[in-house]
Amino acid sequence: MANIFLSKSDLESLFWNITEKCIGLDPTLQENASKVRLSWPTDGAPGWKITDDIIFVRINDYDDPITKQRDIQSAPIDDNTTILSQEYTRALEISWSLYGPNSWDNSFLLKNNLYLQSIHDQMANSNIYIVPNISAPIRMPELFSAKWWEHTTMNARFYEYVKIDSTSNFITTPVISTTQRTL
Amino acid sequence: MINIAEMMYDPDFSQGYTVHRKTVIWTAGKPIETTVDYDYIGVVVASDFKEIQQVPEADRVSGMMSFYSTGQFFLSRTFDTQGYDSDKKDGTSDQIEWRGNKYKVIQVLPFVDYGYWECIAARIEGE
Repeated sequence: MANIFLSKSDLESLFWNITEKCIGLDPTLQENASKVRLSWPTDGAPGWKITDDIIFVRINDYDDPITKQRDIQSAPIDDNTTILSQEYTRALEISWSLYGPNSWDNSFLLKNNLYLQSIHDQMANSNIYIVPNISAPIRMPELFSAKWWEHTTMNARFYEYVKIDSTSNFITTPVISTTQRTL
Repeated sequence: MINIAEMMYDPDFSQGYTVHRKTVIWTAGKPIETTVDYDYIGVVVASDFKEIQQVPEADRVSGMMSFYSTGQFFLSRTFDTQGYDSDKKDGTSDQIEWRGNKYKVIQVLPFVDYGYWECIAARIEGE
């Protein structure tokens, strides 16, 4: 019995790694460890400079009709017990918030490189597949500390294969009783 | 200019508290903190009510204190973005421990020309 799904931590690691690769960074180098950041750090985090190209990643579920369909299979393991497997497709939305002088160009790289075969293969190893309908990046610089900071946002959607197992008992000896009700 | 640093050490006003200074090393997009503790002496006064927020799930306590010292207080920083010596390391704001509660520094008032620093710190709930 084994559940197959990615935890929040698994998803963050995967999309952090993929984002680094899509914009041409080597994720193994310490100097690149802060260039893609995960949003909502518990204790906060240091900021960045207007000259720094920094990308923030947010991960969420979204509602998609495909997530409603569930394939439930039963596999007996002995005379009394069976494994019930629920399989379905989870829908994920990844949001990127890109800052820095190259944020617009990085969104272009990100949008195109998500379709690379190497990126596809890496995601497929984790049962993640892109929904090939990426929305256009939106350039929307922000006014902060008397300067306009370059800022671009972009979203993409993905499907994840999920399998959840549980055990259930068979009805081996049905007990039937009758009760007389008096009106 | 009058330097009033001696006020920070006046036993009629001052008391001790601990400043937890946070520096950060980035690992795969996550800030991993390291803490160094400093013993500070200075004046501590209330900056806001200690109060509750009544949310559906529970009562949540918040409050703010002002801390004064001749020692510097640090806000969250990226290598020297504060325009003065910030240890030359990325870090998040100082946390101050006073009377069993922790407070995170959210504002710093650098009255260094008068011999002291002031900060306003928000109570950290849940630790």
